[in-house]
Amino acid sequence: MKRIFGVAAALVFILVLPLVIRDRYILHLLTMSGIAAFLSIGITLLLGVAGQVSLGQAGFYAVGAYASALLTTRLGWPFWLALPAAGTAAAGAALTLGPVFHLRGHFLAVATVAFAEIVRLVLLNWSNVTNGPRGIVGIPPPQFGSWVLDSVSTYYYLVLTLLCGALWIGVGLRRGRLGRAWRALGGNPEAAEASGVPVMKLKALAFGLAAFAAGLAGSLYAHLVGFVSPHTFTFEESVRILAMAVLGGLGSFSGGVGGAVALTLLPELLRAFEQYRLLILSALILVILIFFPRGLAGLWEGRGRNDG
Amino acid sequence: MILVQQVVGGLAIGLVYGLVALGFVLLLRSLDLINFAQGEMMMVGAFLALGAWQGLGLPFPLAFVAAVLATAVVGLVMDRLVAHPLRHASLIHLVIATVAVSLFLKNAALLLGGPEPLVFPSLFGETPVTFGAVRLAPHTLLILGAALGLVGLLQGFFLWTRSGLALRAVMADAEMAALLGVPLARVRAVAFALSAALGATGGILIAPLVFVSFDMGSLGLKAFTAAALGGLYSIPGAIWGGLLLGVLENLLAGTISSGYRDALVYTILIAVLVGRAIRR
Amino acid sequence: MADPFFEVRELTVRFDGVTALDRVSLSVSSGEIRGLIGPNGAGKTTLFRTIAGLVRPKTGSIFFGGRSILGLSPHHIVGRGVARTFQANQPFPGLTVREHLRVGADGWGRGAVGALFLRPDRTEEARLRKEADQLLEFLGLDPVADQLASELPYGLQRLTELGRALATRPRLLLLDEPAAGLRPEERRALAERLRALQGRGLTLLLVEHQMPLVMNLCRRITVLHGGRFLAEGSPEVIQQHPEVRLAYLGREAQ
Repeated sequence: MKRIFGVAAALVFILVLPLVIRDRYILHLLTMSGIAAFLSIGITLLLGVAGQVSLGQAGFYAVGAYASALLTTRLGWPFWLALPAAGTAAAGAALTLGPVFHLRGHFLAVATVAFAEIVRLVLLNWSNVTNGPRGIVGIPPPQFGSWVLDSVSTYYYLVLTLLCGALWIGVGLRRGRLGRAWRALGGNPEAAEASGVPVMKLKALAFGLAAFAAGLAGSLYAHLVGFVSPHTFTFEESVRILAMAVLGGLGSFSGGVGGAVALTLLPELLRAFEQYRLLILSALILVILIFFPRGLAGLWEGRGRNDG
Repeated sequence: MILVQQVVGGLAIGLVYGLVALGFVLLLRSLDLINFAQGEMMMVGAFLALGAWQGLGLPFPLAFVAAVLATAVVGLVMDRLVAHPLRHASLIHLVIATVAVSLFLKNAALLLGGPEPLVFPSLFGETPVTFGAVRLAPHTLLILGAALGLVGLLQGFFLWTRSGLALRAVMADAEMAALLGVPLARVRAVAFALSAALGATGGILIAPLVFVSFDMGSLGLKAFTAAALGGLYSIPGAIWGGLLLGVLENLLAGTISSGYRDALVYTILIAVLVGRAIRR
Repeated sequence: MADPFFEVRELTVRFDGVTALDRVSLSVSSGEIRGLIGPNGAGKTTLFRTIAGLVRPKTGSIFFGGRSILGLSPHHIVGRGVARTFQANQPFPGLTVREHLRVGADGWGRGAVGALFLRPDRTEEARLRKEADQLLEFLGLDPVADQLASELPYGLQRLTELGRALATRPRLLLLDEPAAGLRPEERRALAERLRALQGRGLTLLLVEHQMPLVMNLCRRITVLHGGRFLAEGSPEVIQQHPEVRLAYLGREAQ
């Protein structure tokens, strides 16, 4: 009972926020946190549930962002078509990785790093299409008929709505037979296979869904900021995305969202310490891994002890 | 003739890749761990050598050795503070941990050294040495000599020292070695120190050819590609893989821009990893 | 003559230059409990892994229920009705005992991938839950059904492993050293359960080093040595077989 009350209160708080906070900058930040939450839902599903390490989520994020940017600026597509197309493009990119799903553990991780780097390099060098290091500017805000979504608070609600949908899907997937099969495959792929689980297909599905979420995030980002460049989608960004899931406690969607918010707001709050930001983040990750392997979710449940 | 020139030029960089790749292989074989911070060891070595040589005014050979040893200590610290506490942790945690270490080192270097890439002065000047039809930059000879020397030292270490023997045992069969009483914690520390030293050497040797900067560590992924080309768990393979990669890169230098060349290298990495997995 | 229930013909497996299996042939009848023994390195686990689809043989064939299962992916083979247990004890981390059984019962191997996003309908869900409950009861795991398998004592983990395989509703079960590490009373309970499974129509192929268990349970035993077929027969015949004795005791006898 207490739980439902807490969740309801949080929901009200989140819904009311833009009406209370007038500062555009803070609202922008909060909206960015919501977009980051998409990334975190994707990786929580991929890593927390299915146990697959991806250090290349920035690659899918980039594919989504650029796909949406190009579709709207070059081909004149409307946002509401470009958004799902971006997700689909990112998912498609994940599926082209096909044979990579034979890899496990750290080899899979390295392959994802390589993949994201390839994406970044292509975006940086294929100037004809992507405009190279200068990126794509003038990405239009979402438009539904004559209604242009150019205020931050309305964008905030857009992201929030989509986020709720994504969370609902994520939690639902984890609960059913698919979630169970993913957890088995993450824990012991050979035994999972011996129980009839089609390991390759389910790995591909997990990657595809995580990529789709990242692609959506990319599109939302592109149309919020109005500009994309390869410099956003670096390895550090992939690490930040991974860190959101770790910080939140692997496997917990709500923890992951919390991690996303923390890792979007904190760096801004620490703006004064810009130079130390990544230093502190990496040290923080190490401290959490060594002393609190269950992350935020673990602390919340009161089990922040080192079980490792 | 230009072809031979290009091949030989590529061999020098290839040897550097090979040395760094060797560091990857050592840790893969002994601990089944991919150390994402290995590239940063190159960077640390290069920075420390530059600092000791140009900053402190030490003669180059001394600066070289001091930097390599200091980086080995960094490797030891990494083992003690990160690898040792996480020795029973899941693979995911270990991967994230080494990534975090790499970010930490990279950003520490950014903080201390600044964002501007630094020039590592050439040691010998520009006059190439001629061997028949081939002209080699003197630095290439240094790389060759240093690499040979280091590999020789490594061989000696493995054959004649107790730690070397213990490390070989663990690399061959970690479980058996543990049963036989080999002190795993000590061997792990040695493996980290050694691979850091190898990384540092590679970083110092390549420094005059590229700039010394906080993001030098990105070469680590290429060195890992070299290790993969060599079979991932093979020590001579690491060197051969490095040579192959170096020559390949050099041969393509005229034809493809560096950005696409790197993308090609990473595609090769993925293909090699997948090829290995499928053949099982 | 009717097709044998399960048959392996001239199976040869080579890795890294070593011939792990050399023209091994084996045929099991429906409802049998067949023992598979041999000194270490004889190729028993390799044979299991090849049957399960993890290893591709150089030559030979594998037939189950009259159809070839060679070249099928491991999860399809499970779907056809061949399951196996693992020698090494590694339960799924984070999954309860019940969930271990449900993974197998969900029928992925039989093409449930199509029903991925759809939750099984009420009746199917109820049926699966009931089947899992019955299996839990049969294995004596119902008191710990909702505990994490990784937190249970060894004997119960091994039973969970057996349950995991049984939940896939196999017609042929490959057991890789199911008695290893079990206490005598656990071994007896295992033997009884295996006989009960046979009574329900399950065919078993059992790799074991615990000789009393094998000799007791199996009416027929196949012996492998150095990757080759050595002998086959009733327990009495095998115990007296000179080459079998040589293979096991050989060096020491000299």
